[in-house]
Amino acid sequence: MRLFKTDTPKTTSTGKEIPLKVSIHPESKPNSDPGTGLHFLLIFIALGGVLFALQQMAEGKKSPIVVDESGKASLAPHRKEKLEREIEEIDNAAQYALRAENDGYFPCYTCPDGKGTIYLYKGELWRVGTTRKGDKGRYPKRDYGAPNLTFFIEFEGTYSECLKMEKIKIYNYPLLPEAMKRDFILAIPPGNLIDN
Amino acid sequence: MSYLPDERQIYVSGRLWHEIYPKVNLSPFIHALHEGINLTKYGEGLNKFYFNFLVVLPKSKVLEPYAYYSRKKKEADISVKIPYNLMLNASEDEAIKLMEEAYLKGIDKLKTFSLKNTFDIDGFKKDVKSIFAKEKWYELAVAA
Repeated sequence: MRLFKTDTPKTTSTGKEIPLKVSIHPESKPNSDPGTGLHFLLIFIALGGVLFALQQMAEGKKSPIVVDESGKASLAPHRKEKLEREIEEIDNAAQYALRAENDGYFPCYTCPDGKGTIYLYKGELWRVGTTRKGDKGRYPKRDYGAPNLTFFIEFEGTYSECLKMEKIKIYNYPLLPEAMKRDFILAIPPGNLIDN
Repeated sequence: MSYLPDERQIYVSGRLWHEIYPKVNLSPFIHALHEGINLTKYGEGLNKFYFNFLVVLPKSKVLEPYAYYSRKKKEADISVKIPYNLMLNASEDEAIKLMEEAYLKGIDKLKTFSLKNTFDIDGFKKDVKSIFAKEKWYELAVAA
């Protein structure tokens, strides 16, 4: 913002100096303050934060227990429901395999030549893993980490059982005929990063 | 079998109990729909259509059908379940029919999203039906 003096200093008849008038140059006055939008955004974010905090506080006020007329305490319905849901998710898991849908090159995370790819034939194993009920975040839009893969459920059980099965299959991968026919040995499936 | 680019409009995949494979044959669907469908023909509301055949054991509770739509990306991701026992007892031709029905059901699920004025769902479904109506289309698609 540029300022300039509009008048030269003046004095009254008593010799008292009148303060200079200062005005904003009309051309330099912005039509709108560029910071206004940012201010609104910051206010909006702050309000959102306050609302979120209030919601959290309200939920936090929900007691985790309920006490009946005889004074006996038990878990509040919302906590009981959450517990049951989480136990059910642990009890319902699946060990899966991602296999090549077509012949072609696929990413290889542990290949010795450093090329980072491996040629797989249709049906050959790329990755072994475990998923649980409610695990909706896993592989949305069939994004398995590489294209042209099909998801096969090979074992269902508790989460612990599936993790054990997954580990057994990962460790035994080099003994599969498809792995043994290659001129190099992969310790784990090409789509797995580590032993588990 | 035709070349399949990684980036395309139509994606077909499966989440399958391993013993049902290869009866659930995804390849004809992947290739025929990629070759025969251009989503831009039906409007601007859908850039990508991800479809997933779900064939799991009857008592399985781990994977469920789903339907998502991203208005921002204009992408739909739909999974339709095919009853395991129907697929298990189906012949090769019957298995294809079950998959065709599931795919068309998936297109119907697009109607649950706000695509009314931006995408011609019925037109899309009609064209997919005409692909499925061709005699032995699934053999031709893989042979091409």
